[in-house]
Amino acid sequence: MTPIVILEDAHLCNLGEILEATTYSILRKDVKIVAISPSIYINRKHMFDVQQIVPLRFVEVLEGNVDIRSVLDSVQHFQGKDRIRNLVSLEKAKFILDKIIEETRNKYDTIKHVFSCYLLCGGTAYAVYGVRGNDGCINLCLDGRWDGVKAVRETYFKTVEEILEDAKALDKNPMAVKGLLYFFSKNS
Amino acid sequence: MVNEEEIPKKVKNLIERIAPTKISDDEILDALQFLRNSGIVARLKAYRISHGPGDTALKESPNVKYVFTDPRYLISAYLHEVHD
Repeated sequence: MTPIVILEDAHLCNLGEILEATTYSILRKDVKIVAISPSIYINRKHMFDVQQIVPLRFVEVLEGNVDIRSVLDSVQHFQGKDRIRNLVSLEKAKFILDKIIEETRNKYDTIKHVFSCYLLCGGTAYAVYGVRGNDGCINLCLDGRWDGVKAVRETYFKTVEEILEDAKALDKNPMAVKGLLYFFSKNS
Repeated sequence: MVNEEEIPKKVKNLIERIAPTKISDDEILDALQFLRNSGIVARLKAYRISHGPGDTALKESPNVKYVFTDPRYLISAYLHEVHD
């Protein structure tokens, strides 16, 4: 049984902490590290050095023989546009969660909990950091201080600019989206 | 309520007033699907029951209503148009 270490908010770690986690993994050899990070940070590792550092957090160390990363790879969770589709589609999110549950065979309630929060809240800055001093959706969800739909609505709400950014990422015409939003604001 | 088939034309007219941009009907319909899939707007469709003798089938109206799922989207869209 291989211990799995989940590194929560990996994008908040600097390179030294990532190295420390990796070293820990190498020394133990049998440990698998799973880094959870919003996809927006995946290709911006140079930012790790300038991020304010929070203590490295190993949120869970579990015994198991499941490589969550490979599960996620198999459902394309972290792959750019697919991830956005995953987060906007309830069916897709449910499919991914079901697949994770199926592949982890109900042994890892905490992993399911982490990823259900992650899927529900999304990887946006709102979800991770919160808004105006309030905790983000993910933290609320993980701590059990989560008021379901309300928390998602509070943190998942997007401004027009954010909606247009999402549209652009999905190859939709932002001007068409903007026109529709304006149109519905007059005819809603 | 608005006739669904007229939405692309009406939106195109609105966009042309904002910027000199040519947009196809397909791009608008694609964007509309994106807004629906994102849970930002919901589509309300009207049906009516026929009054014909023995005819209880639901008749589809050509009109639909799109509403924002959260009033903040409505306010946000309005303010964005006014101040952008």
